[in-house]
Amino acid sequence: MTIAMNHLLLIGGLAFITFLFRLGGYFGGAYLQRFPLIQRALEILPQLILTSLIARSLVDASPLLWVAALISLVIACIFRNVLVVMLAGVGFVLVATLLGAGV
Amino acid sequence: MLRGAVEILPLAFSAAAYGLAFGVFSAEAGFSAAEITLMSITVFAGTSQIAAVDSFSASQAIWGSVLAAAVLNLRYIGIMATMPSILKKAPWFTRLPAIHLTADENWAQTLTARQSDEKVGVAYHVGAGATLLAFWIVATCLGNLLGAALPAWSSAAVGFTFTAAFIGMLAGMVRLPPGTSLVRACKTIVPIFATFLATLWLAQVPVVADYAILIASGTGLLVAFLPGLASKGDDA
Repeated sequence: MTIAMNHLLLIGGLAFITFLFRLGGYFGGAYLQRFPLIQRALEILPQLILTSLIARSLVDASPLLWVAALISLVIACIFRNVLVVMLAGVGFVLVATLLGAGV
Repeated sequence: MLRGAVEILPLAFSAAAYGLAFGVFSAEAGFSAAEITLMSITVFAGTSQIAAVDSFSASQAIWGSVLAAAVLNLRYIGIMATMPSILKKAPWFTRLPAIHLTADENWAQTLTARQSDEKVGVAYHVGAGATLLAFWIVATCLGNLLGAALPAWSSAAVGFTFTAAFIGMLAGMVRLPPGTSLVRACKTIVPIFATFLATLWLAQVPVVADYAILIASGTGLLVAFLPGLASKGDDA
């Protein structure tokens, strides 16, 4: 049951900022949302961060994982359910690995 | 409080399934059960926890990962803006934990219950939040312990778990209902595509690779505010 210092900084930093956002939203959220530019930025930034995380995970990925990502995207557009997408994507990679496909 | 705790159970089980998968992934990324438990208690925001672990395992950049993950929690500014009417009567020693215990699921549950019953307030919200947190802690910790015991051949699939999850979350956020005009679709898709390409490129540049997620998202944001893409509601 060890805690590494770099992991502790990561956890502490994220916990602190997340609580600040919650507290800031409680006190100033209604005021900030009066500005269309800020409202638009708050709306699309999470989409862009998720996009970037997806791209980052595919930077050095094998063709198999790119295919898995495309399959996941199609499943996501159809079902719009995170657990279904996870099961489909991971299931595809597992089966392909067991069949000897290179990852 | 008990009512909130009971009524959140279906959503808590769903969050637990997700937390279990996150726990498995976190073990693969080198996080111990103690670390993931501490993270679940103090952060209590699933998507950003996943993003932080994912980003850190790829880059080893602490602050770049913290900021990238924290940006996902910007939605709490909007969520918490709706909470003063529910929490304002509570004393501070209750209100601060209630603020921390606000997650997507119990926020939505509390607001929905309050629409049909004005007595729903801080006790309901805290009961639901505490239950959700308990499920989340147990699931992520258990997943981490299970993940540490998984065979090596499954690592590619485990590693892909949250690429798939992020794709699912993104699809849930991007709404293009049937009949959406091409202009409106472009306003939504172009910034996302720009962010995707920018990340692929920046991740190869040694100096900025640690902050690729933040810089690429900033690029996407700039693209979103370009003339012609900036106005939100124009479907012409």
